[in-house]
Amino acid sequence: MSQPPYAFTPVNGELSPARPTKPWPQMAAALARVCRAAVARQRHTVAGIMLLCLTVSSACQDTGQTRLTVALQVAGTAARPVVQGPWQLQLTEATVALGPMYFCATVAADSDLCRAAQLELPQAVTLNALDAAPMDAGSLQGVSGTVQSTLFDYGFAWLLTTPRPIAVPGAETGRSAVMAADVTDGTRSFRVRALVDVLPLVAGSFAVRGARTTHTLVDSGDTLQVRLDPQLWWQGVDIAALAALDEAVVELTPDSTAYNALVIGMTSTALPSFTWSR
Amino acid sequence: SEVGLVTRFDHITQRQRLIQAPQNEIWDERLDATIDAADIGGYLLVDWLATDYVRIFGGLRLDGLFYSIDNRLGNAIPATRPEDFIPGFSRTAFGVAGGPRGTLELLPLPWLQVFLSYGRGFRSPQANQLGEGESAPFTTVNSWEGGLAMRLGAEETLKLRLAAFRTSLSQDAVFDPQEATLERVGPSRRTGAVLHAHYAPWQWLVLAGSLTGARAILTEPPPATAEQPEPALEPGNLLPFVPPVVVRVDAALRGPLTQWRGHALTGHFGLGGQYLSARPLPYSEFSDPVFVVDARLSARWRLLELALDAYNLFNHRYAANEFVFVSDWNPGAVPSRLPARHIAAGPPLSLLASLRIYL
Repeated sequence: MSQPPYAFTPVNGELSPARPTKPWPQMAAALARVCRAAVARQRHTVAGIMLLCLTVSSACQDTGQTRLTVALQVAGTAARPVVQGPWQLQLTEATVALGPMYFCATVAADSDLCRAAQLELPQAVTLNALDAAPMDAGSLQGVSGTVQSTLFDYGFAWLLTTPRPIAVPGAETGRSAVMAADVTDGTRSFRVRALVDVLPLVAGSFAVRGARTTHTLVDSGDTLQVRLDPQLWWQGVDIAALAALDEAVVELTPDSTAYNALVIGMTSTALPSFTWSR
Repeated sequence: SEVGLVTRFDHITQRQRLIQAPQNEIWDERLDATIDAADIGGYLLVDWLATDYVRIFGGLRLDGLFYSIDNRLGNAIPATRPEDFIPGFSRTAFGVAGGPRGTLELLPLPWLQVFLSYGRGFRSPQANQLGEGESAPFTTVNSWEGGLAMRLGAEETLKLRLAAFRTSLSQDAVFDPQEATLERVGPSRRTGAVLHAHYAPWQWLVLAGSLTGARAILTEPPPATAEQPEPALEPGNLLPFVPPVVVRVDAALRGPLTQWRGHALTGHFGLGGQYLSARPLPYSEFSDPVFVVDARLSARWRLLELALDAYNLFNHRYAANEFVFVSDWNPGAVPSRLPARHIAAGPPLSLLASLRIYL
């Protein structure tokens, strides 16, 4: 069965009926005439301008969120005594690793609910938590929108792909917190040291989930100040119990009640404060 | 008039797993579902030439759609809740969608046609998003199109068609590359125009081109979700991934090359180019424009045709698709949770030789 002649049109791979033929030299000459005529009439110029206008007019609109940066400052709180009965604890060292930190659009921040963050600090920042002066710590990268909570760690992250938590870049001491304090009741003195590792409970999770902070991000130019108060962490430590150990230097170990009280303070009862400013 | 019945049955198995190189261990499962879907529809079409100058097409289509979803990973258990129930859900949903369509054609001159069309249709839902017994939330599509069609020249060598269109969707969806599925984003509207020209000045030459301009926007904010209680997209925002401008240009040549053994050897040459303007992406980004040229060269002698097709003729390096989403390509490092640009590379120059035998 014979087929009618077809000319290929690669728009959609279909064949369309063609007309009877002419020799190739005539075709070339005719094609050249068509091209010359088109150029003479500047059709291509008009079409180009129309195309440009359409493209520009469409590209001038947005598609929702925009990228932005927020300056990050971290600060501690000037040392002040923690008083429990006759005992007075004075922190002499509090070096803390803060981060990674993610700011989320949801109120109930959870790793599953915050797969896309509004802002992030994907590493840690180490600071002297006894220095009340704000320290510039770079910038947070993010997208516009409303922040309603945050997820963060203290220098350790437990990735879904690692069997245990790992110290993250920026945690200079390799610990969540290195703290030391002098304790006295006026007649007797001793020293306390704590090397604290605050670890997420499960892989893919965070040490602190859902810390509340609210701010609407519109564009770059905001500043976030995160302030820690390590003295508040020590308020949960039973100082009298430490004194009862009757040691000149008390080292807090992860299995001790005092150590856990610090962890609870860092992750629950004395969270950092978040202050947003323009 | 015409009456018809249309049926379609789908059995779909969906699975998405995350693997870790180099051992390719499966470390997470995101999707494991089986979907059975059925669409049974009927239509009535009427073609009525009212006068010599007026022609009316009209019809009605009615569809019933049924879905049975077995999502074995649905109802997932959050890490903070006790594992006192079994993950997964099994649901069914049914719904009916009706859609009238009609076209009015006016033929005031032999070479001029004026037309106006309206159609009401639907877009079938994402089965995994349906709830038990939910009246399947068919996306209703209302489409209007009007314009002119002209046939010019002694032998109608030039055909022009200019049409403006406006399409409203009651619930649009955009591709979510993380889940590899479509996510609801709310009602949308597409407004634009199409200009199509077909020019055949000689029997051996056909030129065709089309220019489509479309403005696709959201008309209402997308529904809030647990992850995004305050949706980022707002009314008036451009719909992601819809190119505002599409241009297609084609040329085809055909003619006898020579005679061989008493039969003509006929040559064909086709060249086509497609331009996609910068496509809007989430987070106020735009993809790069894409321009790709394809070509075909063929020769036919009697019953045999040998063809060489070239796709992406100039071996242009381009992104066929661009996405913006959160990903983690370094599983040993702290992941970023900010969306990043990803591309799916377009195919390089591809040559395809084919031999056809016409019987």
